[in-house]
Amino acid sequence: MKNLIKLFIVVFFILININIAESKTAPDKIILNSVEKDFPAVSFNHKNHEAMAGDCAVCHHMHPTNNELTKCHSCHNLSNTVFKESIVNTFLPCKSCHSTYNIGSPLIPDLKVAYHQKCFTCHKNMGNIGKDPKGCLEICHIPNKEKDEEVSKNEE
Amino acid sequence: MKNKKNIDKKISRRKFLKSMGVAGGTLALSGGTLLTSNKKTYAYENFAKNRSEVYGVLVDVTRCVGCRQCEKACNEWNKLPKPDKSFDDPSVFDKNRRPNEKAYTVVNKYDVNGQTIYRKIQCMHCNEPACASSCPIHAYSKTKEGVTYYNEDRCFGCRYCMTACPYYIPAYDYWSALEPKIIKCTFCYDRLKEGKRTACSEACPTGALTFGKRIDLIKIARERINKEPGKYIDHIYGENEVGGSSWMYISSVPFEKIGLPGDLPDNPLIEETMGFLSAVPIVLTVWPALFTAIYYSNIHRDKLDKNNEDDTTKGGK
Ligand code: SF4
Ligand code: SF4
Ligand code: SF4
Repeated sequence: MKNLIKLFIVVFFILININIAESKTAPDKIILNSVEKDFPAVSFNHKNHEAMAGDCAVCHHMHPTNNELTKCHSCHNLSNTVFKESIVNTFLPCKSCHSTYNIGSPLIPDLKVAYHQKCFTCHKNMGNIGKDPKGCLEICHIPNKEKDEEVSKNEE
Repeated sequence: MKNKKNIDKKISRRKFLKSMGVAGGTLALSGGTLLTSNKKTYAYENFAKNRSEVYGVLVDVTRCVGCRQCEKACNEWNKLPKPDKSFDDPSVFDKNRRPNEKAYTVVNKYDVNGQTIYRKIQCMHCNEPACASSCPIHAYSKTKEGVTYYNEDRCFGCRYCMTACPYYIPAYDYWSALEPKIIKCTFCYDRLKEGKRTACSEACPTGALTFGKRIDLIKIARERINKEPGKYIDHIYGENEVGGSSWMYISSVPFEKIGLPGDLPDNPLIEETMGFLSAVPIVLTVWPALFTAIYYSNIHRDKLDKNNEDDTTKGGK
């Protein structure tokens, strides 16, 4: 039985990997505008960050590559739809899970927190962020920035 | 690493006053006893029955960037007066502030060992609130959500709570002399009742404020500390301090360096407050006020308690 489960998991991961290879390519630029009411939208250069990070897993949830098997449902059990979607599409837009905050699941942050946590992995203490709050507007939420019309509107 | 071994260095105000109370003689002590008798049962009724439903906020100061969105959200939600300086003016950090009648919460900046740390201050919503124990007429109560609820209709302005609070939270609105009232964070009780999280924790963009069930938050805090033991101090401030509180902090620098009292006992301050209360008249020589308070409280408190089965079902503010 144990072997059967292992086999299943291996096949599963192979399928996932095929899926990665077949998935559509990542967007070059993304406009992050979920807090536009209070702060100017961020024009996020996905391509540059991809190159700098070197590994999608720096920002995206991915299946562990270190043989550490986490239980599937610890990530995929949010809802049936999300489960199905997350199996079919390898990378989901962050907002498909990190949308509304559920008080019962404090481990899943809302969208702006999910973004900022990732951004601050590097951007804290860069410029003025975390030293003087002005940095927010200087580095990312740049006021009146001319929005590139070409960029994809999909939030990743 | 608990930071309360340096008691010898400073005698806290409370301990000083407590010893004053003991020295102050039996008259004063009897006043304190009268004031504190029987109130625990009332103030804690809802709360004690439903401890598992208690909410909290975990403040991770390592994540806070001092953007003051929490202050802004609190101001807007509670319809507080416009601040003197705008919420994006960094010059407010030039000196440390306290919550006051215009702000239920403030964020202060601390420079500790070369690190810049911001810390949000508000009522901790203690499990065993000293403000409630000190109040002669039960203007405070604990709700099942964990809110230390202040009822301004009951308050008669004695301000004992201001001196009893170990975190120096209750502020006094001196501007309305006819309707005295204490000002403090409401834990957004009006929102909590609707199943929403607090306005400040919803506004926080960095995850420095995590709202949830208190028991879940303790687990999360412990996980963060265990995951990065080099980063965090191995202590959840507010898990046990003075009996624990709904608001808790984790930090990369000693808590007393960011304005949290470092010498609080794990036990609730109720007994100490009794001693403290009995010291108030001696310190301030306000005997008439005390006797009025005892008189007022004994007659009116029971009446109030009977009439108001549960004031907490009314408004949030
Ligand atoms: S922090 Fe002070 S005001 Fe708030 S519940 Fe505790 S004792 Fe009361
Ligand atoms: S809980 Fe509500 S009242 Fe208290 S600081 Fe936050 S927003 Fe203000
Ligand atoms: S909103 Fe969050 S990050 Fe900003 S100052 Fe308040 S606690 Fe800190």
